Amino acid sequence: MLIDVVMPQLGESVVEGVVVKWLVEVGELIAKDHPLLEISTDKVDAEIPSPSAGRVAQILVKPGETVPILAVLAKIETDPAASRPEPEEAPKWDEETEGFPGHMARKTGPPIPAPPRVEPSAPPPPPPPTTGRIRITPVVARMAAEHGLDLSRIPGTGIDGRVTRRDVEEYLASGASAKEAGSPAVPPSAPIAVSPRARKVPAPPLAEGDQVVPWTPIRKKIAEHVVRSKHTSPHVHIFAEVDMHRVAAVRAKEKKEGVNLTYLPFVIHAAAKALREIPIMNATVSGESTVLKKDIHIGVAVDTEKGLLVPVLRHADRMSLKEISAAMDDFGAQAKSGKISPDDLSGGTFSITNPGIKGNLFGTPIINQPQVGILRLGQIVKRPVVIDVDGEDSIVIRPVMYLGCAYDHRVIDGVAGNGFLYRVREILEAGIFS
Amino acid sequence: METVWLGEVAYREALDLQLSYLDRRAIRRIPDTLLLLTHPHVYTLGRAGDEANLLVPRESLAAEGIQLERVGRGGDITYHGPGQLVGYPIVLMERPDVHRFVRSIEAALIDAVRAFGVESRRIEGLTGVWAGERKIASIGVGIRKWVTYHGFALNVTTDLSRFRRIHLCGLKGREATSIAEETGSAPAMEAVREAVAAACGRHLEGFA
Repeated sequence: MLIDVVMPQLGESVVEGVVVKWLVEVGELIAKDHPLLEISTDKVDAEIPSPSAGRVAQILVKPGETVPILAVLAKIETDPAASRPEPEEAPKWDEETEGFPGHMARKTGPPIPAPPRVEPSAPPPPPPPTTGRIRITPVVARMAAEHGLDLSRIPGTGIDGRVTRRDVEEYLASGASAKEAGSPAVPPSAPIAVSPRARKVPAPPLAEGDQVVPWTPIRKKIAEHVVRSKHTSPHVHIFAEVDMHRVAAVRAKEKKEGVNLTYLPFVIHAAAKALREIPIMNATVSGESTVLKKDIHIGVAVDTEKGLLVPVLRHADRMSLKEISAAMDDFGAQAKSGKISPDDLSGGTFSITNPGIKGNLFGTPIINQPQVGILRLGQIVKRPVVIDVDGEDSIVIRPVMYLGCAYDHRVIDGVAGNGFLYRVREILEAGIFS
Repeated sequence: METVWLGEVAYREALDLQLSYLDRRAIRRIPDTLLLLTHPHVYTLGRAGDEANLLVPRESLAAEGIQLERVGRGGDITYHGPGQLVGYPIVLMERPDVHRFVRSIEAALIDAVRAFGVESRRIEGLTGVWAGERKIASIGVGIRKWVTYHGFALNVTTDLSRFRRIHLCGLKGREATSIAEETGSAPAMEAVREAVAAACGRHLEGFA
């Protein structure tokens, strides 16, 4: 007899659970009470034991899916005489589509040559609701109803292009649904996938000697962040040519007094000053509001052995050049020894990135969300520049830097963005850092 | 409910102990049992836990001889160590009501810490016990063979700086506290142990 394993009622207030993982495979012989799968609800994880001895005939729900109570999770064949499904016929987990091939389309499991049998008393699962010809799970149907979504607009990545829960979540996260609800007159455009994994692109074939390097947690985090940032903020990139000769002079003077300063603290100092004057650049986005931050905390991207870290200089506008320089040295040392504290990595209101000695002319940095602006230092190179000497045009040799800036056009318009970069340049060229 | 005081037990060793109690409870060889103990320094990450919620590199923990263990319970990352009373209720659930079970642990701990002058509460949607906005006890329960394992960790005199290296339970900006931190005086672990055992006896009855 084929019996159903249903999602148990794990408590009065528990209406659904997430399938964490399967502990058995299709075709496996199991004893009664053998753990079949793990279910997670709230903060409780439970292993679900088999209601009967037999053979696992079908697994109907994939890991990660949320299922309502009493939904059928699997079928167990209790009759030892029933023929064992051939391994080739057993639905196999498909890594590409993250599903069991055709399991939603098939009404019954692998063919079992046995006389008709009486189904046990467990209620059958509700038939999957359909929207047109699109097959979906109850969870997806509920999410679609809650958010008023037209499922035909959501690209499905499941079996046969089925829309999965993850597809809906990503669709919602992409903000495309807001467009859909807000302006129905807008013709449907392809929603943009925000997943850092290009899931629809087939993996390129591997050649001999190719190396596959799975992403580390920090890599995943960076990937997720930059994709989200590019998708969230329309970046406007602007560049200023900055004559750094006065900065160079201050550096030379400090060096004579035994203080080694790089160019970075000067830029941080100038940026902090400009941020104080143009508050919209020192802001974060929260929903559909801009939060003008009272304090100026500048995150400075640092490359470490552990990967990219962005320690934050708190109250950078209150720090002297030497204090900024000393704080950066501390961060560098702490990052190297892995002792950088979490407090030092959070709470930035603006960011600066510096490619360092192996830098280049200029680059287009990605905004560190939820901030709205970022500066990037270009290489400082001696160039011939035309200046005015006593009313005459003259060519002189000056250390010049292209300073790049990205700002979030949702929040900042050209006047403020350009004004900010202009002001940073002005401060650096004036060479007054007090 | 029986209570067993185990003293300081390493995390993995305690897990083996729980499972041996659990196996015997499942076949009804023993009554419901509350295991009380403390752990040496360890960070544990639940099944759904994100390692990114550990804010310091793994290597720096290793250098200090502190383990990071991935474990088969719900919830995200947390810390265990000296000064923290850990309780693992091994309770048979004939008709499981996992939410009621978690709420009952919360109620027991709220009762227990009140005896030491700490007013605490639940926060809807955030499992655990909270003194004001700070978490004084974490809860994470597992069920196998319809018997509960894992449980709770109550900060008595825990070194709270250890929590600042993680996003507590995966929640940004949430802080931990302890009985000592809340009251300014450090109660004896034995006294807290007794109070917790008594409160669990009252609240964790009636699940079988």
